Amino acid sequence: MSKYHRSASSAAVVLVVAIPVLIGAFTTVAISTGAIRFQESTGGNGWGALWQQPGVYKSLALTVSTALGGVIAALLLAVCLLYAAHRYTGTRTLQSALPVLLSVPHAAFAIGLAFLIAPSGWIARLISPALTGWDRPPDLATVQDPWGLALTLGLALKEAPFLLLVLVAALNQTEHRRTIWMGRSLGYDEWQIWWRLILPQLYRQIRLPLLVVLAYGISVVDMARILGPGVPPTFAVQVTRWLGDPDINKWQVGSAGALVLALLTLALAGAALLLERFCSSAIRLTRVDGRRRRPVIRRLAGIGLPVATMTIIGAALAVIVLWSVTWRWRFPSAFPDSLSLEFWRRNLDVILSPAGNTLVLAAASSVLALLLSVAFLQSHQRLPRLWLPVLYAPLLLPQLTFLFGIQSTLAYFRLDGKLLAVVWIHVVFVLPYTLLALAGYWQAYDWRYSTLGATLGKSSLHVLFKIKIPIMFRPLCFAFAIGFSVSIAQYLSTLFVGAGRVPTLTTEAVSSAAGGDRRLVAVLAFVQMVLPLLVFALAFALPAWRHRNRAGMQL
Amino acid sequence: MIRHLTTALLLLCAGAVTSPAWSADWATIESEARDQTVYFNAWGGSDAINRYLDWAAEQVEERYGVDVKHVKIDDTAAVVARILAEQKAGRTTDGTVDLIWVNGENFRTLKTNGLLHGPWTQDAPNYALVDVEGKPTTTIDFGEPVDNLEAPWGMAQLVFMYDTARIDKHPRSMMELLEFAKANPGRVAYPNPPNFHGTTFIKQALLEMTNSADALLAPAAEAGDIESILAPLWAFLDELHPHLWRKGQNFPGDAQVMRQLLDDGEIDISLSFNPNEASRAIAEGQLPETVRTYIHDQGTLGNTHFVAVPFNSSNAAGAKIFANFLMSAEAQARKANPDIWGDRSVLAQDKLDDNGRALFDALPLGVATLSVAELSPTLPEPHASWVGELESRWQKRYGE
Repeated sequence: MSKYHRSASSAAVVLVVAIPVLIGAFTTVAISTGAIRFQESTGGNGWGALWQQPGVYKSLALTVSTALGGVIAALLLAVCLLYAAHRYTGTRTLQSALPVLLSVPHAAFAIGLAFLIAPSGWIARLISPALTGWDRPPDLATVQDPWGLALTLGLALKEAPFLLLVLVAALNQTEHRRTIWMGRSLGYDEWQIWWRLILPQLYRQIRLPLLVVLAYGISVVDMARILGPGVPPTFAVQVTRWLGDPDINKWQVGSAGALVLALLTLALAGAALLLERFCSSAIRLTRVDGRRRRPVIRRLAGIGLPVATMTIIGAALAVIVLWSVTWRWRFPSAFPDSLSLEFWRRNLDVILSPAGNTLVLAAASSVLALLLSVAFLQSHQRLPRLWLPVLYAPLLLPQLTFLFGIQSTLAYFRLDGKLLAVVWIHVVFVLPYTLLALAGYWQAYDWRYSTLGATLGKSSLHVLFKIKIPIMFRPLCFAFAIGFSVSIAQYLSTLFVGAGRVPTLTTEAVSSAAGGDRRLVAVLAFVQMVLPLLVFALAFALPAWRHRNRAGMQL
Repeated sequence: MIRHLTTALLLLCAGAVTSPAWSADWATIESEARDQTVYFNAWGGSDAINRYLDWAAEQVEERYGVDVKHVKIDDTAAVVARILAEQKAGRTTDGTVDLIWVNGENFRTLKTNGLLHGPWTQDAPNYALVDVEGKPTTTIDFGEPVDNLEAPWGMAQLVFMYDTARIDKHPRSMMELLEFAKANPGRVAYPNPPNFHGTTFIKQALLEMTNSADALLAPAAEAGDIESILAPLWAFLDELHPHLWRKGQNFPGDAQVMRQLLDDGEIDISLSFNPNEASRAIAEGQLPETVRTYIHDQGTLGNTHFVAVPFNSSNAAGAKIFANFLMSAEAQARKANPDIWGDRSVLAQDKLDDNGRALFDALPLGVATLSVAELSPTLPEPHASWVGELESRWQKRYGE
């Protein structure tokens, strides 16, 4: 590929992703310091006022504890799940099943979890009154608890499958079979081999995804609104409230808060890297302690935890389906008192318009992201390391840090609230995923097919569309499905750039989850959850059908 | 005293209404409105209301060729913030909001910042049907004169709901509510301010506890020693909070959460600003059929909600046509139907023609709805400037 192509595709990616994020972040800085002033704002800058806001330190502490707790618990769960999968089911099926699980939007999962663990939730209903004696829900804060435990649990359960996917990919790049064989010959049991020999090899490769999960936990708003406490809420929720306050002085406070989120991410990432150093030396010490076999922990963590995790995730999704077809379901009935599709019939129009927006946004942004990804990968033989921070920037920076700046800039040019603007901001978040999903396959492509095409006198575009893309059809479908599900889950970006004018299933589900009719919330969450599933099903079925007569293209 | 003040304010306003500052030809507005698209920013958290708005939008599309799009928002303050941002950015035309559902503090913010189009409601034909005499809150919105900048849409009054299958005797005042909470720990709750219903609850408590009710009707800045006026409220809340749901450590997000908690049996008493809420919720399968409504002996807070056109709407004509339709007897009667929405009308029965009256006479009264007589007395809202004071002080005391 020519140099021209390379710089053109690089420029396109920079233009779409990096520059807007930079402009957004700088605008946020400018607003917070008062360099950009709104008329009638009295405060010189938002930083001084920020620390005098009620509940600000408690909010920050809550954010630190939930984000760190979520990331650590997610990692532990993911490792236990990987161990269980590796030992009992095999990781091959995991690799194709996981993206489907991942495609469940954060908001929908949080809604399902809340339906499950609330004092009046499904668990309490299943065991009451027989086991508990409760004929009314107990006065226990199992959801929106002041310590943010429900939110931590939600983050851990939602992010564990993501880390698991990354771990599987990392595992396949190590010589784990040989390591296990060696470990066994030294008399270690599987669990010890896992922790002492394999995990240290994997950690390096999941460092970046871990930081993504951490940054997500720090800036998450949709899950925090559903599962987190309200007085005070987590810092990101508080910042969102300030940025939407009628009092314009609060916008400066909010902008300063949005930057504090970025600093917090930086500080926690630094702490995580230090912790990693510490842990690796600690593990190095224990690795040579000569101990063998601790079967009790193994059974608990290697079987119990994975089974519990999958049960909770499954039940959280099932209870959404259950509530979506319920008419009345009073506490403490274990199952709905009356089932009915009446609610669907009455609310079809309420669902159709946001569902339409959601579909258009997801399809348009995934197609655009795929086009950009293919153009980029065609001109870069391999994903250069230098590019990773640029691509990951929108995932590593807290979204609030640049979204408010982007919204203010767009509002200045009167582009906020336009569907196209929302499509574009979705591309910013979708592109990193489609690019990373395709990169491996593009690298593994056997160039001799293309060379052969070229020697037959075909142009490079002809070769691309007639040879390479048909061969890459399966990964392309798969990347499309991933992009589609990333777009569907978008909450803050839709909210800010859409200026409230582009309602999607996610924004509607989150705004009604705060106490709307459970049946409506369930219906919205159900559709939100089913759309990506359908697209994933298509992404599996279409290539299978297309390649049905080609033995070499079977899975 | 309260009543005297209200009457005085009412007379003042009646004067303003009979001498409109300007008058435009409504027919011109109608022709201008054709083919306009109106973005109506209105709270979208209730599917009953959403369905009603879909119906109203269809009607004005058919009759006047105005395309109304309901932008479902969950926080009106955020929309007010956006209009303010547009003003700061110099966006004086083509604003993102053409019509907004608003009242109270948000209206005051819009009005004092010059963010509203008008005055114009005096020109709307159906405004003549509004009961401005009998419903003073249609011209004074939380102490702030409306000045024809927003069109009255519906009447609200604070009511409480309880399940007769679970409790026999409901509290009849805030003091009785405190006793009830002590006897039934964890079964009483209120949403945390700045949620609208939460702020209303503490305003109701303040009105029942304070002995300086008159000061509350004037701007807070004129009140002098605010803390001494609020002291009885804090004393009451300090005593109440340990007995609340979650021991007052966490609060339900809004009245809808409260309704759900009432249905689940987690709490015993919920509240609403819509006297028809219980009947509507029963019909929708959201509450058991044994739920009933009550108000306190001293009366409860009442107010009016409005729709207003922002200063930078380029579809003001279409917005006015829609607002005028919302004030018609047909639209108001449909809105008052508990099977549809159950929001009380702003119209005066004696100003309607026979057809209009017949529409209201045919309305069913929901099983759990109080009659107009049972709903009195209605207490006027404190001046909107108290909202900020109450919310920030509440936040400092209980939110940290």
